[in-house]
Amino acid sequence: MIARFVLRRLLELALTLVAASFLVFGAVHLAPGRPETFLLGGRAASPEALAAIRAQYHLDDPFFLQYLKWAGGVLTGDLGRSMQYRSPVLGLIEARLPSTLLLITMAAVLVVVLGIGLGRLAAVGGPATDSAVLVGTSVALGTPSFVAAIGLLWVFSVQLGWFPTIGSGDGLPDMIYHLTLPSLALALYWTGWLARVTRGAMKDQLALEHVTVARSRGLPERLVIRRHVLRNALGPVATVSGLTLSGLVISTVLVEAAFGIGGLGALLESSVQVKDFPVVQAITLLVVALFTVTNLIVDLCYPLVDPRVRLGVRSDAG
Amino acid sequence: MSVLRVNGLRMWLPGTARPVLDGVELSVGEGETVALVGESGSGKSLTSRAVLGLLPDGASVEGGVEVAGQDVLALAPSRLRELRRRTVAMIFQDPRAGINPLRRIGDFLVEGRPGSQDRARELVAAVGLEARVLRQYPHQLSGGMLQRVMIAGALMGDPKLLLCDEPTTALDVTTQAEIVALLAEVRRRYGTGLLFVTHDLELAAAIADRVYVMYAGRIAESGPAATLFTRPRHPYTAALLAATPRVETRQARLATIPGQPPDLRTELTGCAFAPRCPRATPQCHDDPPEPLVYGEGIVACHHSIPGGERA
Repeated sequence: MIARFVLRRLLELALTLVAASFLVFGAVHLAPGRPETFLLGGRAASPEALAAIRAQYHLDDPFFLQYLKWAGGVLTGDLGRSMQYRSPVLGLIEARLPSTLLLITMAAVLVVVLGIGLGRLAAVGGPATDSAVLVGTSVALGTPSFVAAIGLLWVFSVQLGWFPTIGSGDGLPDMIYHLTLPSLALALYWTGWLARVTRGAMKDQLALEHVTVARSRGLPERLVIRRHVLRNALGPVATVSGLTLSGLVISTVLVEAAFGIGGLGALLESSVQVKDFPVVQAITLLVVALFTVTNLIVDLCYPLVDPRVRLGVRSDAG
Repeated sequence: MSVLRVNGLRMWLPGTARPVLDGVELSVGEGETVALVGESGSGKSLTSRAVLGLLPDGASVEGGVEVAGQDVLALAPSRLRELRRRTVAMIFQDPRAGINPLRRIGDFLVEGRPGSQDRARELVAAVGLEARVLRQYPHQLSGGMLQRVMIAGALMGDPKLLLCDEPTTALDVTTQAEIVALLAEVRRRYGTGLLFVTHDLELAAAIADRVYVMYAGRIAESGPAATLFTRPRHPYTAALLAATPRVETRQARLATIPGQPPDLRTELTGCAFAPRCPRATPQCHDDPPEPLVYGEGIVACHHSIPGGERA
């Protein structure tokens, strides 16, 4: 049953990626501006030179043929060549992946730990704590990551001098040190979101009779909260955590720019600016793939969270 | 010797004009079955939950609740937990809502009682279930089976007092009878005192030794089940009995009690039942009736029905 479910979901995932790749390719080509203008760096060029460039990047082929050539390349591991860097896209991505991956991982850990922790605190910590967390999460939700980035830089790097202002460091400890402020800036919004979802889901559980029954049986309150309230609230928390991850990936564009981190986000940003088609397409497709894979993993986790969920079966269990 | 003694229990909820429980007096002897009957909102469930020290948010209480000689309302949290683990347990109305859907039945039973697996197996058999339910999840069992699980769970600590809050209301009729029979057996086998909260008079008459009739947070009448239901003295008890549909006598229309119970926003000056009572006089509206002893029963009424008869 589970194997069939996974197979079906993988098929859906493949279809999603095909559709997404077409949309990505189409959107990039519909956007205004011509890549060859950038390639020439503003210099005047003879029509022959222009035609040569256009031929090199297949820019004069019909749209659908261009797409097929690109998609075929992607399937065989060839993501094309960057116009900006004149080197294979795959290499560019590989070089930037570690710092971005570490940044996202650190932010994800912060989001999960702080988000669930604050949500729990708000749900069971009494009205004053609840209000404080609600105000705090409102601020977090209302602060764009690039504003948070500048605020954190100003306080901790410029005023206090605790953290570097720029770069992503070398070697794991140094990288973690460099990426602390960026991951905080990145995590802020999603922490607020997850805290609110956790709080709401826990409050829903607290109102249910099985919690009263657990208390009536003389269980310590700590155990009631952990085993019956928090545990039962994990369904919505897992869903939101899955969405959070893809949100983090997208927000890296702004945060990496603010902290001068040479990661994938920064690469995407500069590539969009100069219409470096192949890079934009590859990174966008990577984000879509990450999003769908994360959702598949979250779905596979549901039966662990709730035994009433059986994969691949339409269940009427409430 | 009583396992439960409730003395003048009064409870206020925020934003109400009168106490939601107003001087409740009741007791349950060792191994005795006592029914607490009344309409929805009469305070019978609040009373039974107060016995466990489970009070609604913002409630303030006065009076005493003594379980096996301990004052529940004054116990420190750790002592209260110990009391709930060992001395008094509760069976709730809806077993499907009462058991955490994400945990196995076995985990539910032994929770908070390390090393009690054997006791759980024994009790699962005692309530008429197969041992395999221990490994199952609540959604895999029927409502009746889950109520059996609830009963087994309540018996884990070998309690002296079992509170049953409408334990059959959420079940279908045949299952109801099985659960009632099981509870009667539990009482016989373990000598547990039962406080049976219900709105079902027939059920109360069938299972209880003594009955308390509650109206608007007060005890209207109490007495042995046999005499209370055959010869009610309080007009409310009589009206309730008259309003109980019967199979034997086919009625053209179901009898009802005119009017509504008083809501919590109105203060009560006299007898709570006076506005709906056929025997009410001006005195009833101004003067709350004191409980009076009649033989084995107690009635709070200025004009109780002499000798008891059906109204």
